[in-house]
Amino acid sequence: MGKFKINKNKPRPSDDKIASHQNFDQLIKSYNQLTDYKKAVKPLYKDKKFLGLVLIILVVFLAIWISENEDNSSETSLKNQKLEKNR
Amino acid sequence: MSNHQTKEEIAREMEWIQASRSDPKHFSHIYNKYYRKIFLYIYKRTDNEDLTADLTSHVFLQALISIKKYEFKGLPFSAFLFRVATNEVNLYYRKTKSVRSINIEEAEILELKEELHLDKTENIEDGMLKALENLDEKEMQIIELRFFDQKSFKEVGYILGMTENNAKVKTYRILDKLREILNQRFKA
Repeated sequence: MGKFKINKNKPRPSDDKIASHQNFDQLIKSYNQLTDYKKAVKPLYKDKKFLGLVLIILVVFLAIWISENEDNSSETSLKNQKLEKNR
Repeated sequence: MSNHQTKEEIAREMEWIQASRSDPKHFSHIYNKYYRKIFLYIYKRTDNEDLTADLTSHVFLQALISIKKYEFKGLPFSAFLFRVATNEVNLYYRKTKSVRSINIEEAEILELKEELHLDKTENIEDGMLKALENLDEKEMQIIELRFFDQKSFKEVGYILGMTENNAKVKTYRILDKLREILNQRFKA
């Protein structure tokens, strides 16, 4: 069998037949279904609520980490002062 | 299949496109204007009415989805639709691995014959069809667009994703190839 099936002068469908397949309402329906689905399965990185939550968690963790670090550094400086006094 | 459009027609189309971006219902103007053309374009390449109806729906759906990204490049919107249609047809043949159908009319063969400037032209039609079978898919698509669909080189390039100049160079190379095949056939 060849690479192509070449038809010569084959009659094409009539305008009425072509028009029978035309359905704009169906196109809009398919478009809405597809866009609604895309909206419904929006990726997390595009979700503002999710991004806001991640930001809040990050800020809280950062605050905890900074305060812990401050506590540690003040504790070690107190220990150092005591050690120096004992000497 | 003449594709010439006046500036007013192109401007009107741009208004429809702009309106479709905010409300897809305005796409009906484009849909009604081009449905038949796209249907016949696909039918020539598939030879199956139901499949053509299915692929045509896909083309308009894809076009509507990507209308927000559409940029005017000096060609009517139909060029964009033909590009999407070509991709849909290619995708179908890639998936199904079936033999490509090509519908040619006698007038189109004669046009191609004129372009080839052959030494001998008697009983050329059968030889021409056999010669076309020697082309690969990409080459056949260029010939179809340029000579059977009467597209400009700019449109051929845009539809197949190449520059206008590249489309021109490739077309003349394919014509050389066809001319050589046909002349050899006549000598033999």
